Amino acid sequence: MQLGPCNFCGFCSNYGCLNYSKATPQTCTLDALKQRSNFHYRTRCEVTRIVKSDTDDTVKGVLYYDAEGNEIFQPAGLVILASFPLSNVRLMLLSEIGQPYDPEQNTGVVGRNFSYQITGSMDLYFKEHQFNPFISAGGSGQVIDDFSPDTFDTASHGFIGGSYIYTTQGPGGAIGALRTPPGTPSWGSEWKKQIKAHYGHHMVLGTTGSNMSYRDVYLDLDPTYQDPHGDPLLRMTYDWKENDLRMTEFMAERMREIVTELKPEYHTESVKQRGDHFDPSSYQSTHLTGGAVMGTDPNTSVLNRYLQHWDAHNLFVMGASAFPQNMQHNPTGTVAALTYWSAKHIREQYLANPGPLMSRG
Amino acid sequence: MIPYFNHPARLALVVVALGTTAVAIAAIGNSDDSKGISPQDTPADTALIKRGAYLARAGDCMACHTREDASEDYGGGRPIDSPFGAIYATNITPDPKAGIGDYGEQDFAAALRQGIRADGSYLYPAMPYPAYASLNDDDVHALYVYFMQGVVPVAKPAPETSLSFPFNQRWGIRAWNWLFADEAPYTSLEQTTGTISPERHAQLDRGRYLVQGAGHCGSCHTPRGMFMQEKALNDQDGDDYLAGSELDGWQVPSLRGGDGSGLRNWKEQDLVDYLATGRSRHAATGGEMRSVIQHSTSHLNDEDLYSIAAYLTTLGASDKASHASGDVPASQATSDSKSSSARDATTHQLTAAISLDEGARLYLDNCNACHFANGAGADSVFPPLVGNAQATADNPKALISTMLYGAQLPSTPKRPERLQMPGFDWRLTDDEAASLASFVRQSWGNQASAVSPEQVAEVRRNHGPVDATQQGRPEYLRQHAPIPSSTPSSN
Repeated sequence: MQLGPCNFCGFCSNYGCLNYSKATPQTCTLDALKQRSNFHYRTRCEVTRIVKSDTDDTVKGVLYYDAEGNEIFQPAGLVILASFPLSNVRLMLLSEIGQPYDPEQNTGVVGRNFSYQITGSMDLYFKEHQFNPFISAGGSGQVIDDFSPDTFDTASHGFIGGSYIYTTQGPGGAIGALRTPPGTPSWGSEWKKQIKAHYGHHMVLGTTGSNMSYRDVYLDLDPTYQDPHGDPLLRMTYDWKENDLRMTEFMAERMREIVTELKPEYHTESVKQRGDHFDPSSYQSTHLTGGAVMGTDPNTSVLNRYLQHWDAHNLFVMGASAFPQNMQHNPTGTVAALTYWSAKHIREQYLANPGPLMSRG
Repeated sequence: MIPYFNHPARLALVVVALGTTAVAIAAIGNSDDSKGISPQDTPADTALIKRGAYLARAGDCMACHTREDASEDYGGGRPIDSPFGAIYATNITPDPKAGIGDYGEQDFAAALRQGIRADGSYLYPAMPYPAYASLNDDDVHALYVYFMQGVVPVAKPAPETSLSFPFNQRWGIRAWNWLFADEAPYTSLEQTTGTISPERHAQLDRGRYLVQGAGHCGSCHTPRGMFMQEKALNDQDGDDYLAGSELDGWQVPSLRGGDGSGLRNWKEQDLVDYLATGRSRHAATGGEMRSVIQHSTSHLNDEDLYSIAAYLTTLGASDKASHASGDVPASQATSDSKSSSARDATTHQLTAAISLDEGARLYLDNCNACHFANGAGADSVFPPLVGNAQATADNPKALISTMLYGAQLPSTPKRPERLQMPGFDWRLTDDEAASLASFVRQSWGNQASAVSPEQVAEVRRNHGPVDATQQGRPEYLRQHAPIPSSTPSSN
């Protein structure tokens, strides 16, 4: 497969890449798969159940709706569940595979260890300095990794975990990338005037921090809301916790030290503080993790260390849903590494001798 | 009990991906391409069938004998446009009624090499039997065994060809054959003593055999005469051989060397890359060659590809080369330093982006993201526009068509990615497209004629309107993977 050269348009955080410069499946994977005579794919389908076999220690296929709305059973010898973490968890709950997590009794596993990230940012305005926000790429930032988890004695500062501090010019999308001073209206001639004056004079500092898993933070099936098929939606029970807010306050202090040295004309802050609550209407990242975690104990994990389901040995679950905690960094690299790890064991061990790759201990 | 585990070939793997909106299914274990092979075939038969299948690829039988929707391999039915009407390719599967199942090997050989059907009537020379006449007996035998035993019979007959009078009088072809076809078997390349090693000689001879015979490259790359005959059938038949032509307004580059040739700067490796993948540092394939690469040359082994490339680079310049040239013609080619300064001038003009004329401005807004200010594109991803054979061809139709309707590379075993260029017909007026095309043809040292809005309008007229839902999609996708018009209401 081939990548085209990046022309630094800066749109890659929020959009697909017309120039083949971004390592996405349509650029790097799909056409290679389609070359294989034993590969088929069906788009515009919605999988609603993974179907357990009669013996209960395996699954026998999936049920899905095709584009015309027909419900179809696809038999399978092996099922790999590789959707977004939230969908992985919901599909297992709907399919009644694995015991759902109960936070009160502290039993069950599916939906347990749900975690996220905690971020913060500061926007700095420099009248004299000219930045080039129209030239940017997703990977073009700079990161200070000295405050990441396990790199220093965080306990002496009153928290566990950590964060990286970064600066970047992306994303450069129209309107979304534009910065105005506080108090500027969000449209109209005054907005246009301020955009002209401020465009190209801002830089951003940001933090992306760890998020621990907590007993009362979890995913389960919603008792009220349903999708058009009549299946319950997924419910997320989530709030910020004091440890993670202490951590992010510490990181805000470090960013302020940088701001003091850089001496911008002014700066604005968007940093969470103790007492703040989670607000799903305000975007911070798509890095949702956990809910179907890997582990060595079937009482506290959904999957064994090969991402194989403890209760159905021919079901493997890929993705960040396997992370027991969110340790700050972008999850893609770890997701890919775990997927290769699992695929290697499926290929080299499981196919020759189908069965659990680990004993339940 | 899991039934599918009992039978490894049927073990299905289901991957639920993309937010549960897609299902991917793979059978574990590789399937064999020669689907007609039955378990009782001996290994010798299997090897022969595989060799026949390979030769059918080399001969690109599929290009004509399989419909574009590729539903039934070799079932025929694909129309080949001729100036006299559509000629329908026949069903060449082993079905005894609809296909060629009742052909003996002699019948098969006569059809292949002499253009004579089993019933004695003549095939139209849309079938390249003047080229296939070079195929040796062993290869014809392998092809026969493959088509009889390795191809799934299709019981549906292909449509009859019915050309207007006098072209419906197939007996007339006999005279044409007498005048223009050559039934002589292939004669090997002469060994000139001492100049090249026996290995190199064998390689060149293999390439020559493939180019002249199965590959039937001359069908498109050799100019045709008044009676639609190829002006030369091989390299001993005159230097019109592979000297370039035109097909449906698209330049077919000369494959001969020398200044003015479409392959002037191509090294053997460039040719191998292009034939194997449809892309090289010089060009991305388009037009009819796309199908040739997809169905034929990308399936050839490296040894044969290097042989073809080696042979082509030995062909000397043709006197007529300039007529077929799309590259900067020799007479106009400036010295290297002068052309590099012309290249720099355009690059600087586009980089500075000050006082641009309409063509240059449109280039920055529409083309620059991939082809760049220096017009060099990116190796094997975005083709260069500097010296690009199609962009600078005498007839600008290929350039205009590509700008308006986009392009898409074939997926090949070595380079599976179907890189696309979007179409711009929906956002460029005829005047704008003409300014832009003229800019491309006259910048970086390119010295081709300007394009008029009337020429753009003509390409649009011949193409016909594009459905609004398909705007901006490459032509190939519009035809082969249309977007469904509405989303069913399953959710």
